Amino acid sequence: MYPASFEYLKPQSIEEAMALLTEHGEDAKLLAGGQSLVPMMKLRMARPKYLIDIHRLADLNYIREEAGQIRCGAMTRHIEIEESVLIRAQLPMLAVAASEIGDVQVRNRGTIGGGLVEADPCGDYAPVALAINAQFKCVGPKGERLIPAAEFFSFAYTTTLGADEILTEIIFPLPAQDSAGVYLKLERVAGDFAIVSAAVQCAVDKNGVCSAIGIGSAGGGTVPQKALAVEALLRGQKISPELLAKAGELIQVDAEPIEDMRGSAAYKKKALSAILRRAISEALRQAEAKRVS
Amino acid sequence: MDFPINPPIGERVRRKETERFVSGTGRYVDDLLPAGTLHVSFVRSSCAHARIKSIDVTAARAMPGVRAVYTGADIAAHVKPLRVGGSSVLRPVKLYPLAVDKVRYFGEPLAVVVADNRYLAEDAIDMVAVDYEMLPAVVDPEKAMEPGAALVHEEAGSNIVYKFHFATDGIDKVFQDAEVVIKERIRSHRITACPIEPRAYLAHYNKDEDTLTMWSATANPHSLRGRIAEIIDFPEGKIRVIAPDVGGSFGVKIQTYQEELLLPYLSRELGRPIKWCETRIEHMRNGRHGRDQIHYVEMALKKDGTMLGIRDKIIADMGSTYTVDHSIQAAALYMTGVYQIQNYSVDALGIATTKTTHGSLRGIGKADASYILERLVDIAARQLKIDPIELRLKNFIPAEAFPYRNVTGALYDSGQYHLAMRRTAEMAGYDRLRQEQIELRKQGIYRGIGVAFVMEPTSSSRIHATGGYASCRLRIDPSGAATVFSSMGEQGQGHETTIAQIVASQTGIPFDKITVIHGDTLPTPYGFGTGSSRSSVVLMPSAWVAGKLMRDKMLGIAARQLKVLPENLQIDGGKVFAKDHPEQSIAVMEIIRTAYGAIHLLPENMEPGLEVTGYFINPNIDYTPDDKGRMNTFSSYPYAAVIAVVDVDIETGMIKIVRYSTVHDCGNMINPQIVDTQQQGSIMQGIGAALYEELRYDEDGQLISSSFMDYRLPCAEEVPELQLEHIITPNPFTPLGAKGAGETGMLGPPPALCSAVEDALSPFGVKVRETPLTPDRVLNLIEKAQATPAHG
Repeated sequence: MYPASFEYLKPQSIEEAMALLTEHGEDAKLLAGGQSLVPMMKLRMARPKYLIDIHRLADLNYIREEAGQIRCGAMTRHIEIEESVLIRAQLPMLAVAASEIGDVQVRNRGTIGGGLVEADPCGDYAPVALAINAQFKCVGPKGERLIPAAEFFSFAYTTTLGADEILTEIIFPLPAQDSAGVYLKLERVAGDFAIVSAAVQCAVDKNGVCSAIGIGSAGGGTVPQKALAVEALLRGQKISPELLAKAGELIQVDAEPIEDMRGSAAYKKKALSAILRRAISEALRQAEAKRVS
Repeated sequence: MDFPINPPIGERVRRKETERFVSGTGRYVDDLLPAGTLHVSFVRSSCAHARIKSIDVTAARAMPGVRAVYTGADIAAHVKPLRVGGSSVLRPVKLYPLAVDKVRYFGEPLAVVVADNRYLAEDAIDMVAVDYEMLPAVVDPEKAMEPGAALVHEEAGSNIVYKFHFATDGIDKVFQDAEVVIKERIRSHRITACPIEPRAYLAHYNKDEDTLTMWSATANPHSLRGRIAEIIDFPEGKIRVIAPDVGGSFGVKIQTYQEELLLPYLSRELGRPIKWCETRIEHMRNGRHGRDQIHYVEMALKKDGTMLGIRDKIIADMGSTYTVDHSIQAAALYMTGVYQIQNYSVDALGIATTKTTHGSLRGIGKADASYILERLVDIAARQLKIDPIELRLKNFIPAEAFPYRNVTGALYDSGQYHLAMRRTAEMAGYDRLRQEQIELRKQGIYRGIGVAFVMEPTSSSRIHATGGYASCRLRIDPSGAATVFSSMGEQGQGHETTIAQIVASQTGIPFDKITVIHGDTLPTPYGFGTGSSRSSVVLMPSAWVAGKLMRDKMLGIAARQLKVLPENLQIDGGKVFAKDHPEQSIAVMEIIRTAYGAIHLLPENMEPGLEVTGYFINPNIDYTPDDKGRMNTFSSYPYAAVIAVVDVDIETGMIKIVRYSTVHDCGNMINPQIVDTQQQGSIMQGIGAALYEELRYDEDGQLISSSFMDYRLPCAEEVPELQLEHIITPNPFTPLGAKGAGETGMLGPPPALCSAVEDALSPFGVKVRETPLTPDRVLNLIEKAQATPAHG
């Protein structure tokens, strides 16, 4: 637990951070809370020569509602998302996802941007971001760009973010008022990374037809997935038990889970199917309750 | 038997240690840093089994801040081999502080770097180049026994490094004639204890004084001192071992380790303090591992459920096994558990593999035995269609049969098994639970009710290993305070409190004025380490004996001055007075002043001062086997009845513990608060073992669960609703009537939870023979059972 030597840099602004990142390139890592990076450094699995600490940059720490979107600064801490009145009211499944990360100590320091860029195949935010088509705002030497959640994760622990880019903001479009969202996570013990997880946002009309649905899942492969095929299967349909079972089958078709101490690939496929079906059922139940009320 | 147990013995006195632990003022090895300290890091084997062809340390030696680099061969040339194994090892092998010709497990230390700080030392170990000639990893103990298997220790000639056999006459006939025989292969899986503080050592050779001080996170300071003297050939009298606050042991710190014996040598060589604090990953790879036994076991019964006999074959994976620990015998001698079974045979084999060395772990051997026996009893109950509680009640050793000599010669001190089982059933609401189970199943909820009854032999006493005695030296100081020097250290057991309670009860010195010194070989009397739950069975009685000697002395002094017979005197409220005439009294302070300063007033032939040493020897140990191989190497037999209720999610395989009810008997309790917290922690450790924790190796012998990411411990959120009660059956073999209290809790969850899960999944006909019960494994069990025809 003794990291290799590194230089600690503490920029005062995003611009300064950008400049340092451009200067040191691949030799540098951004410290965004350090809940995964620091343990990796202690194990010497990560050996950055420069550690650029951005986790206290105040202009990256905010939660606000703007034009039908919730915008989170990338350095907003998990605990702030978990406890945000705004998020709890408008996007409760995001608050739930944040509340299930690690333990209180981790949530006090870890940040949403750090968690997303870490890109753990079983991270908690990704399924939520995928379900509702969040966008990730990044800044780099060439300026700003928006990456859709579905294009952000490229492999386990790898994203499409450039080495000289910084994720600055996560933009969650607010779901329709009559829709409901559920995040369900299967974990070995509390605070662990998920074995599998699923986030479902959906709405039902007065005929019981699923009028809108978005699904994200983790644990089914090296990257979190947007379950487009399952969404297509269910959208515009009345969800019968048979159709739900079919959704459970369908999610397994393309799944290629990583085998690890959390379970075999075969197990994770079955678990993913179960968790997805439960998340769909619960989201439908909540959406129906909302519609009626 | 009369137990003269007076307050504050038996009271929930607040622990003396608590404040410093919870306020962060405890002092551990890692808090110590004498001036000039150098730090070490170890180069560790990157493979499970290989011959070391060469080690190039040139580049490492040239690194900044590096003071020295030694390979195993460098060290072996200058130190004596470690004293390893016991008389029981078939062919002892030589062990040095670092691997010399071969590495035998992933992570074995083979070279050491000494540097100005740990970071530089870690940088330098990256520069050490080791050339290996790879040898086949020996991972599966059953394959390791086959002819032609790669040998872990060539000089031993076989991977079977230990054999134990015991059989009663006519055992085969019992099985031939039996109406029912249950036959199973059941395995206990490999786990480790995970104390919150890993190992930590600091050796300081003082050139001017020619003395060596060793601070170690050890549970066994006196034994360590002797071993250091031996390996570096240095007078034992010049060595002082200090165990400061130690963050838990659970068995893993009672052993002496390779790194621990190397540091004194390095300090003497370099003339500087040398420090090493283990990282968690090192601890998972190098701290002792436990369990990991395969049993091919059979039980013979009558159709009515009467147990007739057990035949067992044990294959114990000992890892790289430079030592063979007590685990195999502890399992083999107690496979008949709490039942009246007088026909038994066992063949136990200890197998060397290329895994981390096996060693002590809370419940060593006995946990394997109780888990496997209870599994067998459940399987029998299901096959015979007898309620699992009824089957146990039918076969328990009855209360009136104690002290009870079991089939292998073990002498169980006391017990009320029927009472404990019935009280647990009552507390858990067993009959109601069975009704609820039927209702819930109609709703698709798979609720299971698990039963287990576990017994934990404690205070092991083996020749040349663990003694069977302990001691306390007690001094009443001239100021009127008392100091107790304990032969055993503590790693969280609360000795500072319980010893003070006992001494206060005997001498009348107030609890707050009693200081307990432990874990330092200089002031304390010799004694073996803290393990096998022996504190309450030998150490506390020795404090009681010391207190009694002191009390007799104080009363003797008072008797002469008051002219009253000692037996008519009483100590209370800082005075000694005549029971019948309380006005005839003398202040305790006056007695103390007499003992130290007015010795002409002492009774004739009484020594001056107030300093006594109390010894207690377990009176019921048979160290050597009789002509039939029977012996008793443990002195007390606490036990617990358990009923666990679980819900199993048959789609995900997840288990939720609804409630855990247990009735525990450790005899008289010196401090019930400490016993309760021991039980709670111990039960959680057992839940971890049953459901979450597993040391898993891949086929190349790499440990793949070597961090807390992969080796999951239960946390606060996993703590179930816990119902805990005690019944008290005093141990007749100690003056306090106490039995061991540290381990029984951990034994309950594995059999109780397996029983509960099997019960929940009984509609599928599932049999649990492997653990931990991960969701993956549970789902597999269901699927396998569905693929074969169900059986009840």
